[in-house]
Amino acid sequence: MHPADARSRLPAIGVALFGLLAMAGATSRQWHLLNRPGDWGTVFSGPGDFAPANIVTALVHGASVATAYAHSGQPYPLPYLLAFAPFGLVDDP
Amino acid sequence: MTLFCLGLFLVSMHLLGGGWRNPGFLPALLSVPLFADLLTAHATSQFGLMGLCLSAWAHPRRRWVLMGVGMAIALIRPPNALPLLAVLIYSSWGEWRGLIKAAIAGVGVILPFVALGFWLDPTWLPEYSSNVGHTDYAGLPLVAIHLGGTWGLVLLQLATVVVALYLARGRRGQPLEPDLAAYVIAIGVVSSKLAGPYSGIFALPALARLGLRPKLAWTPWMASGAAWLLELTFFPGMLNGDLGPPVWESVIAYWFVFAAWPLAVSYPRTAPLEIARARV
Repeated sequence: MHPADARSRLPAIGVALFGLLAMAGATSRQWHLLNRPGDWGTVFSGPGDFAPANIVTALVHGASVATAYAHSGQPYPLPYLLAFAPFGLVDDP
Repeated sequence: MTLFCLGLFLVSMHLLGGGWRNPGFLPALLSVPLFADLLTAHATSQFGLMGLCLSAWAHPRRRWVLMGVGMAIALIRPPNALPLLAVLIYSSWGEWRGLIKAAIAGVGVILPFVALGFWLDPTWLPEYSSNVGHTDYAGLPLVAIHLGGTWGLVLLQLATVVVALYLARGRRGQPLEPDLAAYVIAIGVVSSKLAGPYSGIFALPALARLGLRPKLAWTPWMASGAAWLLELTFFPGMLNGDLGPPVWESVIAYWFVFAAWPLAVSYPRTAPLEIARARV
């Protein structure tokens, strides 16, 4: 059977119930942020992990990358953090 | 960054998750691991997943360069990448020219950054090892560290590689089945640090692929819905002032690996349509 045929057999009520459950679960998970009026912007503003700000800062300002990497505690190999440092520049003026 | 992560996930699902028209795509898109990943803009994981899916997609099509590039990207998260790397080598056994081509492509991508890394920090390798030993863990890696320190982690990693190779037994030198590849990627969740439910994104292509099987079309919906149901149980705690879900929430990632197990025991033994099409 083609995947599209399989999808057509999924009852709309089931899909709708799933959507409601997902929305309720997401609201429950983020309640601590949603419950703070005027602070909704923080819900989708997690700190991110890429690339670590201190390594990007060390690169830009000519400081010791070795020290920054050691203090970052990042469980990722340094070459990868360097490769994607430009992404960090976007968030780190 | 959140949109960027979402874009990477869509590429991954297009490559290995059975495409966006797959009935299992929506429950994977609206799942707890992806939600958690997007909230924290966890781009490292999305990069790793995209690299793994690219490698798995490229292998049956004999696109060796893309396979090497994908694995080079995926190795940003070695615990997630090593099981698939082992299976890719096993599945390419005897095709040494292709493997060498893939290795050269992978090294070509990452070598400049490795050189830069050694230039900026000659001690980054031992530092990396130290960071890996002291990062925040949950789930099985935490148990492994308590039992055997860093060696416990190494043993756990070896176990995932052995299980992945066991699943691929009898497929030496054959095109990698997408179902098998997706489940091998999911197995990597077991040895990854599991510092949040986002680790479960590596099991989402496998979960979505269940939707391609008419008899299991509802499984991704039920598995994803059950995870949301668990999130609902945290609500009373939130009302009582908790500042977030409990730390053990991370183990939700294992649920998605478990839910996708049918892929491990019954994937097509003959060349699937998409492989045959690629060879024409």
